[in-house]
Formats: sequence, C-alpha cells, structure tokens
Amino acid sequence: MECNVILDHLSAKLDGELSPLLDAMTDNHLMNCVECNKEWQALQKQEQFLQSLSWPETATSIPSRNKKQNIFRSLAFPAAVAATLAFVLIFPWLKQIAIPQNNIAKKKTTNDQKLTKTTPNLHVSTKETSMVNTTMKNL
Amino acid sequence: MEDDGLVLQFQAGKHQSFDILVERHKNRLYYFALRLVNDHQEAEDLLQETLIRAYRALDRFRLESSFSSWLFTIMINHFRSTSRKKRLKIVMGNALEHITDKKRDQKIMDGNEMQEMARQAIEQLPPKQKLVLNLKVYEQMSYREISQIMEMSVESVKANLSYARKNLRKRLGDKI
Repeated sequence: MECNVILDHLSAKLDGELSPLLDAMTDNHLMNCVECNKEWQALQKQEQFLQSLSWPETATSIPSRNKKQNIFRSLAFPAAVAATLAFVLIFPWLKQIAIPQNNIAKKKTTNDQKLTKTTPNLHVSTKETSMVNTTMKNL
Repeated sequence: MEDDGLVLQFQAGKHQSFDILVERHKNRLYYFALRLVNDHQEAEDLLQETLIRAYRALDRFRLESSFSSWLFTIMINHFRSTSRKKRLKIVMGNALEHITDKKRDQKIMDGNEMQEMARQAIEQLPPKQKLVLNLKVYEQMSYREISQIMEMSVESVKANLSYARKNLRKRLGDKI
C-alpha cells in the first residue's frame, strides 16, 4: 500500500476501528516505512496528550444555576406572551358581546318605560341585563 | 431506574422524572460542551439550551436511541446552528491566531501554555471535526455511535477524525 493511503488509515487504527485485514496490512507497512512509522509514533503521542488534556474547572465544577428553575423561567416568558395575546384577542370579542347587550339594554329600558304599566315582568329582564353588563365590566 | 423508564414516566405525566435524568447526565454534557466551546459561560449556555430543548421535546422522544445519545444529538444540533452564525468570527479569529502562534513559537512553552494551545487548537477545528474528535477521544464512543449521533456515515466519521488529528498535528507539530 502507498504511504498516503496508510496515513489516512492511522487515525482509525488508533481507535481500533480498522478491519483485521487492513490492520495487518498497515502494521506490515509501518514495519518497513520509516516515515510512516514516525508519523504513527507522533500520532500516538498526540493522542496521549489529548487524552490527558484538562479543562479549567469552575469553582463549583458544574453550572451554579438551577436547571429546572431556568427551564421554567424560560418557559414562563412564552407563556406570558401567549396569555397577553389571548387577552388582546378575546377582549374585543368580549366587548362585542357586551356592547350589543348595552344597546339592547338601553332600547329595552326605553321600551320598558313605555311598557312597564302593562307588562311588569320586562322590568325584571332589564335588571338581569344590567347585572350581566356589570359582570362584563368587572371582567 | 433506567433512563428509558424515567422517560416513560415523564411521558405519562410525572415531570419530576426529568430532574433525575438531568442529574444523571448534566456533568458529562457540561464537560462535552466545555470542550467544544472552551468557555465556561458558553458551555453553560449550551447546556441550558440543550436541557430546555430536551424538556420540550421529551414527549415526542420514541426511545429509538439511548436517552444520552439523544441529548448529545440535541446539543450537537444546537452547537452546529450557533457555529454557523459564528463562522465569520472564527475565520477572523484564525487569521489573528496565526500571528500569535508565530509569536508563541519563539519561546519555550510550559505545560500550562501547551495545554492552552491544544485547547485552542481543538476549539478552532471545523465544527464537524471538533465534534467527532470530542465524541471519540473524550466520550470514547464507537464510530457507529458517533455516526448515529452526528447523523452521518461511519466513513464520514472516520474521515473527519483523520482530518481533525492531522489538523492538530499541523497546529501542535512536534511541540508535544
């Protein structure tokens, strides 16, 4: 095998990921090629160095923040946005319901005033309407 | 209880199971993130984002891979997307790094400087090479596992690892 092919296999050889046949062929080449053998030695040395490499640790080693708290904190924002949007969308709709009832109530009040003498039950209906309106205002 | 059991519990509505899963895997994930970004704050952010995404997606996880592999996949995907945004910054950084490398070569380095140089060399590898190198050297995963997590062929894993090691050889040379 040519040197450039062998050099491409060295990394996989290092990881024990070469097929037995390819591994044997590579070994055979390394025994007979000084340059490739030198590269193989250097690669092994580099690998040992990489494995011994440490990363500076923080005081507590692991992030000090509370994960769960952060997860819910980050979920809280989209939830708040969704709630606001829902309110903005629903509020005009509620108003639409409330306004016609107001109008009806006004009309009914006028009509009721005319009809009170003959139909007293309609006066109760006006009270119910105004109660609904008050509830809507409270909403 | 095994990870799979906790996942099923979570999916059944017992959301506290996620805490146990996080407790089990956070250290490994954190150090994996740290080796990718070489910065504690960035590693912490990467971990946080991974856990948030995992929490949101856990209901849809079908246990086709191990839970830990799934977490690595989430972290890697997020790392890749943020790396794309930072690519220009990295290219600029590399240009500056060559200048500082030359200065550094002029003096004898002690162990700490060597380590720092190696960490920076790893950090500046192209994202794919950096990821496969970390999964292989520090997580000791097989090529097959890496190929599943990275969603690439085993041949591609092999090639990327080979390039990563060659790149490090060029950068670190015979200083080791």
